Amino acid sequence: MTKTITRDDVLRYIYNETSLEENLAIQKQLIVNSGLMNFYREVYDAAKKVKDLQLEPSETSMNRILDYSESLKFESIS
Amino acid sequence: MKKYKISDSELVSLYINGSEEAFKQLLLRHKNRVFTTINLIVKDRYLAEDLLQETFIKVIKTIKSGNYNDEGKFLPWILRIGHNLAIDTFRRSKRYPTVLMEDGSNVFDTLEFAIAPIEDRQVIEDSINKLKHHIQKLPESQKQVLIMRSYLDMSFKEIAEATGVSINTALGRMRYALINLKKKMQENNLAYDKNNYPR
Repeated sequence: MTKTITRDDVLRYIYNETSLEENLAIQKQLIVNSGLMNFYREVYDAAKKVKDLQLEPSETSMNRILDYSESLKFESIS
Repeated sequence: MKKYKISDSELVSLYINGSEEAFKQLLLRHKNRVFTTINLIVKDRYLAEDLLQETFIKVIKTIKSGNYNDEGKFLPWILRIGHNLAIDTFRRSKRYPTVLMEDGSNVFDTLEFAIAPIEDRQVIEDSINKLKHHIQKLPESQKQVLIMRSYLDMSFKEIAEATGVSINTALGRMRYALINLKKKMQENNLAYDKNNYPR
């Protein structure tokens, strides 16, 4: 019997948590089920934007961390 | 995850043997990921800067004292340190009110960009700030799953175990988080179009 593909299955598919067998079943469903395809597109887009979000710390923070490491160069921490 | 010519484990070994340059490479590789995770949780850039420093100081101390043993999983390890520090701080700070601007951002909350030209910078900065703001505004349970899955690379099963819920609940929270974000982003785009093309 064919397993029904749910939105949670599509979500796991987007995050590479599905098996090869599941991938094929999900891809087949996406082609014929426009509602599921819309969900996939919307969620994929949002997930990618979140994943790509990169906030940069300041140079000051970077320098403080590097200075701290340098200051321990010849010490050993017990 | 990105593939580098020299792995994190190799850089850690070099650092243990005294190479400060190896540590600098590790820091440059992972600073944004760790900072993004912390910043989204604590919602305060300056606090996030402090916690980032605290995270890497813990990393330095652990490695230099010979206690680092994470079987080649350097990034998940530092992300966990940063995440835990941020969660602890966020829980403590919830006892005190925070003064925010109307859009929920802090007065001096800005981002730094080194590459984009000046005219593009404002557009990029604006869209990043909006996304950051929308993520920070999500219900805590949704934001928690979103951060754990997107930045800590935890599987839904691991998230379910860590947060004490079923996998279906974790998946449901993630689904709502992403749909909410998409909706907010679309609302932003509509508002932007209306402002630019008035009738």
